Amino acid sequence: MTGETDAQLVARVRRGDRAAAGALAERHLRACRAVALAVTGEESDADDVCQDAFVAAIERIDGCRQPDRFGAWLMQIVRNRARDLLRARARPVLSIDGMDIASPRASPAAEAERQDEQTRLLAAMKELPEERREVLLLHDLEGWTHREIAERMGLPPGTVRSHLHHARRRMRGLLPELEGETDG
Amino acid sequence: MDERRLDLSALDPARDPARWRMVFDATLSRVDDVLLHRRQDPLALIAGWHRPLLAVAAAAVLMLVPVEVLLERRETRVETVRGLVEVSTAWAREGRAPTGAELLRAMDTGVAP
Repeated sequence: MTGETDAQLVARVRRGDRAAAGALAERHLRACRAVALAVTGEESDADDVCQDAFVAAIERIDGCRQPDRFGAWLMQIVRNRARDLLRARARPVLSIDGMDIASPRASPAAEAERQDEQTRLLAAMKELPEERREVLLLHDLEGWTHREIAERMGLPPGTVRSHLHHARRRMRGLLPELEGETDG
Repeated sequence: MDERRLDLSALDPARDPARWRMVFDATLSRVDDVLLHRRQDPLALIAGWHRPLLAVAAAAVLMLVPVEVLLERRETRVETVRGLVEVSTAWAREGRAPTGAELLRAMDTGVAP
């Protein structure tokens, strides 16, 4: 991955540089998916939303007023797109019915197990407020620090810690079998 | 505080690398189209430069304003001296001493009465 800052990569994208756009995707697309998943609650929707949002961000790259905060700007586009999708469908957030998360390459047994695990996780996450879901996924899935999450979400670090604490406690209450390791 | 990380690996896109690679490649393919259009559109490229150009223009203005103020003050002093010289010359030529008001006006505006 490139050592350039987001601001430098954004400047290159503005000049039409494809490699810079690729570097930004490498850096941010997973987090986009996590945020989209926090809002939509479905993997296939999250994949679509993160893709659409990233392309929209590149299309509107001249509107990124603080290129050093490209990540936070992109996350807001992701949230808006995900909420638009849910509004357009006018269906409840995080419905666990009719999930289509099958992988064409996994064995049926492994896929069934994975699907079951995902379904239980996503159903439990439905019980959390959206902001807590986002904090939980960015921290425990994407490995972001409290500080990084606070900067990207525009929240005080204490609020991020609190969201994480409550989200984990609620999830463990709903899914006692959830294991985990102590934060390093 | 609950400091035990939850195992959310079932939601990790890396668990299905082929699927995630497809999402990533599809994203970059669409980005390619956007950037190709951008490279072919001179207005879009200029739009990409407008912020740096604005910054340079703002810096130039910031540097030029103090210079302009200095020049303005210098010009005012020169005009004052010129006014006093004209008043003094008229005094010598006509043998008439200028009034206090005439002197003050010359010093204030640089214009000889």
